[in-house]
Amino acid sequence: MSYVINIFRKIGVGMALFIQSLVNGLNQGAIYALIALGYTMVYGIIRMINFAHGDFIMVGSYTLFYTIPLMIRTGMPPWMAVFIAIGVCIIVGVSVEVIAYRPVRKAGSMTALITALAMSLFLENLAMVVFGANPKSVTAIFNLPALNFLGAKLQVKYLITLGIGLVIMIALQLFVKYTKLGKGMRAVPQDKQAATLMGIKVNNIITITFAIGSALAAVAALMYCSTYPRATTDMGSMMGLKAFIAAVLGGIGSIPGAMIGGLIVGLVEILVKVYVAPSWYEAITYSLLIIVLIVKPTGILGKNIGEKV
Amino acid sequence: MRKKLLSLILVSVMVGTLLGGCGSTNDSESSSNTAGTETTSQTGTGEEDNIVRIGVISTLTGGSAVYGQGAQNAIAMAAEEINSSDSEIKIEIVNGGKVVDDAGDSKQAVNAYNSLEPEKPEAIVGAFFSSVTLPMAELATEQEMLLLAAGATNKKVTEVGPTIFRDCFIDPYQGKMAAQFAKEQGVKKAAIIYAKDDDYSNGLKDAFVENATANGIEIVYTGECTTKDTDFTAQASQAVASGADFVFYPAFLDTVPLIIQQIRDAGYEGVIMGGDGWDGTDTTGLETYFENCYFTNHYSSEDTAPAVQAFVSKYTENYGTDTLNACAALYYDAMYMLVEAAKNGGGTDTASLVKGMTGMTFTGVGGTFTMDENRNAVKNVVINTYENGKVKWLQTLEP
Repeated sequence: MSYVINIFRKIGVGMALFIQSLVNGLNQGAIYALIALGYTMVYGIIRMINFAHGDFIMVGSYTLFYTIPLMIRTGMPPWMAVFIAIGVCIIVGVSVEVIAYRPVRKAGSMTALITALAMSLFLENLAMVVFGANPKSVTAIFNLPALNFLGAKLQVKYLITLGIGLVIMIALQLFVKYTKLGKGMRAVPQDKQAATLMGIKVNNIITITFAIGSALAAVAALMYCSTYPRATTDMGSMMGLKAFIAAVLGGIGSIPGAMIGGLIVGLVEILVKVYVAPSWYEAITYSLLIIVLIVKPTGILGKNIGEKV
Repeated sequence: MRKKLLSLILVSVMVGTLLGGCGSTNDSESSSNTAGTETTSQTGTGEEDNIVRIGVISTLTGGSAVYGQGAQNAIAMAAEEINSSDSEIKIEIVNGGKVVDDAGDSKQAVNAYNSLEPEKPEAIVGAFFSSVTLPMAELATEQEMLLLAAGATNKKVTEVGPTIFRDCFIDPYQGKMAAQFAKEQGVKKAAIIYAKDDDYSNGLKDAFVENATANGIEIVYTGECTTKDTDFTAQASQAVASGADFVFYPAFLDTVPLIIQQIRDAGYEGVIMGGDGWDGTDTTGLETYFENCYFTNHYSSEDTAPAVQAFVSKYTENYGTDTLNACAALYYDAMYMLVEAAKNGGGTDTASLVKGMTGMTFTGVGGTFTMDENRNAVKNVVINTYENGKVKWLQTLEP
């Protein structure tokens, strides 16, 4: 009898671990997805991979590090600091676009790619000079309870991250589909000259895209710091790489694809760590990307439009 | 034609000898210069200048930069004290009194070590990390240079060669004391999460497992991570599911707040313990998470011993408490140990220092300790805990 009870207890613990891992994975996936949305937005409009996007999150995290104590001191809820972070990220993102990317836009995609890589390194080293080499601990953003669900401890903040990710994805999709600005955003990549002839200011559309992408980076920074409360100068490169994989996996240029790709990468990482071996997770994530690209080169939700020559 | 060629060769040979001659005169000049300084230092040393030339290596960039900053302050303080005292042996820190940065990386460590060579130090102090110190120990053994490791606790460090010493305890000892502490706390099941890519973490893990098992503690979960990870939710949830009442995380400070938050978020409320790598951890905003956490360390700033109090008050006055960590204390002691070694060995050249260092008994901030036959310091270990996010001394365990 006790043997049977023991088995049931073990199944219970196993279930709890599985649910916990699922939520952990979705939480991490939602963060990747928020970053991947930024990659996808920019790629979708100007067919350029903005490698500095991960570093916008670093900028956002450092802004949070400085502004959260400010919020607490003035008696406001800490998460309000995200609005300042959004502002700072938009300024950085738009400046990068106007100063570095716009002048080289006509020079071809390779030049743009190299400029983006250089920008990423520049931002990281600038941060090292401005903020110092020490990692900074970001003060707790949410003080929320944990739910007990079938023996698993579910942090409400994890669920919020997932919720925010979904809401932003849907909002972006609607924005691109149904607003005038969104229509402009879809028109620019189809034919820049025709779009100009139709009265669309191409440069303005691109700047707005960068502003939206950077604002998303600030939100991603908030969600990242609520789970991993630490800002380092090199945090953007690794996270950016993961999110880039997520964006490619889901089909770069597709907004729901970024979300799906992000969640898949997050879930795979956590589940591999729990059920295979912790040291395998990166190898498996990258092989997943390769397999998807072999089977469906445009990614899960990507459409094969064919490059214009 | 042939004549032309011959004359060309001759001319080039002549020019070559001219240039070579210039070069060699320059060389001999510079070498006679260094020889001059050496002879003056030799005539000065022993009967002599009485100055120990020390190169110092520590970590000034990256996640553990706070250690190197502590070391920098501590050596400046020690040098100032020693040189203004009436001690007949003085010290000179080469590289303009500055710590050379190893960036916490083993490749950079080799560069740091080599960069000191032209300065002709008589002893090198460093580094704080085992993985960084090991390649330096290889070089030091090759060149018969005295290397005094300040904080590298991996057992292998001093096994590399006969001129490698350390002023700290070794990992097996630290892991053993952690296991002893766990037993005293009545722990039955322990979980371990360790950084697979780090010598220090592996050393502590192995020692803990061995001694915990001997103490009747069951190891219910062993999880791997790397020093680059930020996500530990998978390991944390598994540790909780294993039913452990003690979690051991031997790793360096930069990931400690992350893992503690994630373990607590996964619903674990029991003891979490680490080693001296936890010293200096930033607990801002996580004060409640750090309740019931412990770590072993080389020294505690709350220790009432006069040597400790003198060090703490002077350091705090000059540099504040942000960088007042074990690394600072170990580098500080290292400076005084070299002075002591020069006195014991009867000279400030490397050979005399090695002689003076062997079997030395020393009293400093780290207590009174003796160098054993493997050139390791046999000393007390301090157990610290946290109260409202502040490190608090709990007890001192003797060897």
